[in-house]
Amino acid sequence: MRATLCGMILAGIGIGSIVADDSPAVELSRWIDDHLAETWKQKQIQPAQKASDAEWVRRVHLDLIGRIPSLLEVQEFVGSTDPDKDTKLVANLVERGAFADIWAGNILRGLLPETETSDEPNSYGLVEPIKGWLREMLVDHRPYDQIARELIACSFPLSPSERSISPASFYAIKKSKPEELASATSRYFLGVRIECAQCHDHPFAQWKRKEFWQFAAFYAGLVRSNQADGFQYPQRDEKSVREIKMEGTDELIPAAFLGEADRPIPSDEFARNALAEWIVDGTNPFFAKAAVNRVWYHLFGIGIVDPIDDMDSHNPPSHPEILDRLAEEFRVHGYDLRWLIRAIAGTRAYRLSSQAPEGIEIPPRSFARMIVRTMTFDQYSRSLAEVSGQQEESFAQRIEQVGNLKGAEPYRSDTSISQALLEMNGWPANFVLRQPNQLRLEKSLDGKAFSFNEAVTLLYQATLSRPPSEEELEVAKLLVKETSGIREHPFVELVRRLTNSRSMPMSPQVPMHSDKRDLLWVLINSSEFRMNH
Amino acid sequence: MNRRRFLHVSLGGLVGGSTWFSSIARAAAESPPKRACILLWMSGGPSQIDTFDPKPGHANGGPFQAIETQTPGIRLAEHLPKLAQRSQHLAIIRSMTSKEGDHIRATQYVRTGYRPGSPIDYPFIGPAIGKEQMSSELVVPPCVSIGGFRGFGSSIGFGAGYLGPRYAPLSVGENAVAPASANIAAYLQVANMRPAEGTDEEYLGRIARVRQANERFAKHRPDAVLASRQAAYDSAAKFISPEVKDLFDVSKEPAPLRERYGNTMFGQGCLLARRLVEFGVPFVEVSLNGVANRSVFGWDTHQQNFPQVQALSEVLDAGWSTLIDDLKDRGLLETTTIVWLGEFGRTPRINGSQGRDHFPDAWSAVLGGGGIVGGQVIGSTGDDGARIKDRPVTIPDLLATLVKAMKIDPSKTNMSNVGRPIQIVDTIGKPIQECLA
Repeated sequence: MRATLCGMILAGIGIGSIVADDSPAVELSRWIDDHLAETWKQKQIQPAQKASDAEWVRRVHLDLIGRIPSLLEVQEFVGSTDPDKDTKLVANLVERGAFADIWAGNILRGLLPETETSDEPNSYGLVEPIKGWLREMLVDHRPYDQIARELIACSFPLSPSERSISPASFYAIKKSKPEELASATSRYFLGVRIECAQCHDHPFAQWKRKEFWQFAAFYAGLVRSNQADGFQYPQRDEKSVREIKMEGTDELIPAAFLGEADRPIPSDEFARNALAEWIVDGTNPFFAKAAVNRVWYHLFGIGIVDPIDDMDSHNPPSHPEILDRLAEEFRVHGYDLRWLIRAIAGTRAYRLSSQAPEGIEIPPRSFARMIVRTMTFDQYSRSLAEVSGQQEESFAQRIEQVGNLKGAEPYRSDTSISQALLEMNGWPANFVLRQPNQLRLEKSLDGKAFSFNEAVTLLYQATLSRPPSEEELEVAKLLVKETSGIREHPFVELVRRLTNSRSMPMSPQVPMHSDKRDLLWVLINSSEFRMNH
Repeated sequence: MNRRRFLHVSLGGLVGGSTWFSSIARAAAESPPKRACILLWMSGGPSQIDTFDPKPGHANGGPFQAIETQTPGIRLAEHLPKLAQRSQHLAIIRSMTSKEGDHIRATQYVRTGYRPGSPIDYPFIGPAIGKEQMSSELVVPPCVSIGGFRGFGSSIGFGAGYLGPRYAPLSVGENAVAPASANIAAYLQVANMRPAEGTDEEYLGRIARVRQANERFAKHRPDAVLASRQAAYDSAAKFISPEVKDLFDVSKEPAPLRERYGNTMFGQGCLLARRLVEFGVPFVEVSLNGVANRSVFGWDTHQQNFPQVQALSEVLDAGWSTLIDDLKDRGLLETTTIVWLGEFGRTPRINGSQGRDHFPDAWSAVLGGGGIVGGQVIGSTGDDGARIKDRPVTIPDLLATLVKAMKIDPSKTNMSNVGRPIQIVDTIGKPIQECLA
């Protein structure tokens, strides 16, 4: 019911009408740009050029809805002369269902990195409940503090039916263990790694062992069903229990707020409720900063504090003023994730090219050039699905073959030899190349006749979101001349020739050149396709 | 670009390709491996009593006899006669102990050295060792897994974890189940090694063009992910070279030697392991998952333990003993450490189905070859095999010993996915000094 309703609402929204409260976002974007420009000036950094429309439209689709833009989406954007087209596109993308999918995935990966690296939680049916719940929260425009509050204060016991779409599976994946729940919560929502102090104090780290166990004590009331080490939901929550035995000692540590040990915890409510309220409270020094830093990281591939979950005094932010201002504005704007994304994606910094000017070195943490990121598995499979016209699920199902495409730090992930072999000779290439009759670009353009140059341009736009260079066109021309000799041709046929569909045998008189079917393979296998840049 | 130039580019790719190929052979010849490890992985948890810790005369001992070995005082179960003849190359640890009795969890623990259930993405020890011992010219990943079974449960314990994809194991014959009397060489395949169709020239032509496009793209984009991807592509492209193709083709070996290894996935896998070690791969794993059509957990003998262990032992005995001889003949045994290991052992008590169940309390593992003093037994269990009598050895202890035997410092750290440096082997692991040469 809810899904239908949302679908109806979304369908009725055109570009522009949803951008009711946009001017403050633009204001913040400009402030960030001015601030960055000032730092570049101080440090004598020459920023990269503004990205082309093609480069940017690809990036913003990947970041916001997890796939490259379709051919038509590229053409529509590039062809538009609207001076506000960037802002309008972002506003449109954040309202799509795929935005909720992708950002639910972003939150899940941060909160529970083990769901990326291990299939085990999924095999116990524990990933879909929380992912579905996050998706629903995002679809419904729930503010970020509400997401945090409902997750941290989730009440137990829950009946099995109540678990189906619920943050409760977070507890089950963490085995209902206070120390694991405390680590994940502080890491994700506060951006601090207090669990490093679980076993002993570290000389240079801010947090001490006792503070870790004080945090863990908020979860001490959760009753585990048995002592086994596996996944389990809490049976119930004991309101009165709010102290925990420090591992390896007999010392009982009472719950206390991180950095605010004197702040009282009301005795008439569950400790986790008090923890949730403290975390999302406007005065909490960590919560909003951790959130904006994560969003910044997803859009720039690197956090203002980086690593993003290590907001410790030994790991200072590259741009503390931006972090503070973003956090403050995020709070003032009701922890509206879409508003925050509009503000950051609206910056000129996000609009910069990934190409450095000739002979210029740009420090990566200056945000004066967009860094090149490896696509996540999700982005890669969704993009292949977009190009091939296949269902995205048919790629995702092959997940077991590509374990090393996944990872908790996907953007900076390097490439394994097995992965390269897979991309060159396995399903990603074959799926696209073997079924050219279902190429999505073909579907959208069937029946029209195109010149050779136009056709090659379409192939480039459908894969790399940009037209080919003169040189690339020349190369393509050589290929096709040799195979078909036909310059004017219906597009469908040309695509078949370019991709050497088995259903379209070449006449024996036409010599088969090695590259006849290779253009699409080359495009799909190029780093430019595989990367978000 | 005119046609001539275009062809030149294509041919450049080809010619460049053949230069790569000859450099592979050269690299292999010029820089011999520093040290290597071959892990014989016994999927399912092998019965220690029916292999390396026999209990003849006790009710728990089962029907198998114990046989004498080359080493006075050391006896093995009767279905390992060839290994018994080579006991001088074996350090048998009869006092392994762990707390993990579930296949998936125990597999993770044994293979990573760290208890499961952490957001830290621990690597399999293979890539961790491979990373330390690999030569920079190695075209093949530093860890190769032969005949592994994947496809359910967790991937932790099989991949490179936080070390990153660069060190990810290459799988050969993954999930392959070869029927008896099959041509095993055909089953020992690297996945996606070559294109499904088309000639090598076409393939190299395409690769050259990708390279050209990537070079153009990477210009003025100094990002590490681009360099890493190109390096992986360059290596992957070399997989169609005759050298690499032949490397994985055990049918290139003389028939009598192949026969001695045994015409099984495990036996031929051991032979392939020797070829890979010779080539410079520092870590190779060969799985013994089962005999005839059993793809996984073959040692998981809850029912009818004895005929199954006998069949498995015969496969094991032929493959492993030939591997020792073969490595020795080639002068590689002194630099190649062999480890025999499963995720746990099996109950001394024989259950109502003539089976043995999971038993992590007291079980066996075996080390041998490079850096290891053979011809000895470490630790012992009591007469009934139910408890360790002396010298308990934990998983981190065993891995610390292995890493030490390969002259790697177990306390060396790698940066983990949670931003904390993690030791190759947990600090709690203490090497078994008496094992180390």
